[in-house]
Amino acid sequence: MRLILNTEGYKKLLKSTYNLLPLGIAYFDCEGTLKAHNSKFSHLIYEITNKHISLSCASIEKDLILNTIIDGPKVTYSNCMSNDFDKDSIDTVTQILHSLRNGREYIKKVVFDRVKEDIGGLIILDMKNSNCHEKSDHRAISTAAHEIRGPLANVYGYIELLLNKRFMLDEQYKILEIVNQEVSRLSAIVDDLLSIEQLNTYEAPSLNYETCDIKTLIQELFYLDGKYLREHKLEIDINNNVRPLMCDPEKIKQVIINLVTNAEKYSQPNSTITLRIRPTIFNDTEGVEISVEDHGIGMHGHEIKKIFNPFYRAVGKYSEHGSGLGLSIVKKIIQLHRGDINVESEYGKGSTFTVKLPRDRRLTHVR
Amino acid sequence: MEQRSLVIVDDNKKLRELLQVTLSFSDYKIYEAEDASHGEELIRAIQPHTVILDVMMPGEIDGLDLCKIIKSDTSLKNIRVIILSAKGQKADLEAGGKSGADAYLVKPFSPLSLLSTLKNPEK
Repeated sequence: MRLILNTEGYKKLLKSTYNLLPLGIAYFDCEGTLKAHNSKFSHLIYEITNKHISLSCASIEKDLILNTIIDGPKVTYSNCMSNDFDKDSIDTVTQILHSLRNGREYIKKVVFDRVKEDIGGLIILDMKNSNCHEKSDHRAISTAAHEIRGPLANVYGYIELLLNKRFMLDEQYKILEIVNQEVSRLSAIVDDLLSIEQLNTYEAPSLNYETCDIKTLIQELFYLDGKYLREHKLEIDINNNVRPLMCDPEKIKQVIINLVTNAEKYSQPNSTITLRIRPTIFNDTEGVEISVEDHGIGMHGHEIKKIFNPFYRAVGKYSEHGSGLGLSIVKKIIQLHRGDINVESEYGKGSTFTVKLPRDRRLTHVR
Repeated sequence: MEQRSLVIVDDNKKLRELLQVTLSFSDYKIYEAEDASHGEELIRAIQPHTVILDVMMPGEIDGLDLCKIIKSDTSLKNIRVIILSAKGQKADLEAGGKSGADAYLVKPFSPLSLLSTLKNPEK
């Protein structure tokens, strides 16, 4: 048995099994320092704190985890099996546990365990309890159904009218054009729903990383394939010092397209949208900043918090295009690249979406 | 006889256009609002005969809130409110009934049924 447990194959199997678990699992030592975690744990920490963790910065992780537990929304611990351990070790972790009592949702369980000679703890994080998962799934399905019914209502309604009422030939043509657009919109919603679903099950390593010259990528998007921005002026400003980026180029293209088309939706035709690419420092490493600025309707503070929610739409858009999932997809892709997205907006003046990406996500430090 | 007026409150522009086409086969004078707050302003200003009201709309109040406002205001309560929503489960219909709506149609809807609902002479 020992022989089997020590084989590389077994370790790989164990690692991949941990990474497949729907729960976030992390082991920390008696100092409260993180020693190991699975990928779901890092995803959930990111979800709570918007920061990444990695095992190379243990002392910072300790603070991060403590802060997560203290400041994270609705955090609690549900169980503590602290028999067999000496008082000092328990005191250290007890300090953590004291901080957990105010909420309910994220920390599922904290157990103490003895691993080799260390005395430490195990944190099990769950997004929500199982009931909440079901409610969340139900809400997502219900919202998606609502969004699909919109264009479906138009298709169904116009076809019924065409079949039962008299229209002039040019009116018939207009109606068929609308039906055609609505079928395309239905198709876009279904594509984006599948895209979101796929991104939710992605692990960062499964992205197709390659070294990518962002200038070439922008040229491919907006100069060669001119299908975006028919009614707006796009200004592109690429700083000459921007160096190639390790990323999944198709996903980053999707980020840029979604941000630019979002700006298009919420700003007046003929207004200018500015896409800027420049070098930046992100989490102490070299990074690339992509920003999209519009002079559209802007947003109030309470709206900014909701814009990354699937199907959220701000009041006053100029165009009905899109699935309502574009910004959710953007956020998910940025998370997978270990980047960050920030929104500045003033109601009536316009908005700027700024994405910061590490040039190589493997070099990202934890803050 | 004075032409009756009707207010459409729906955030989906294309759906408002479909309603315009549908209602071109009726005798109503049509007004539009794209959210419940503007809808309320319009309804107070016009005092229409009928309101066709979506439920889920961006903004501070939704369609059900607006329906309750209409039905609890003595100067507006006689306005006929037809809810036209993608929310079509039993609980949604019950919520529509509680809000005081006179009729509840679920999207996708039949334009012919809507026209026949409008012809209903109860008001």
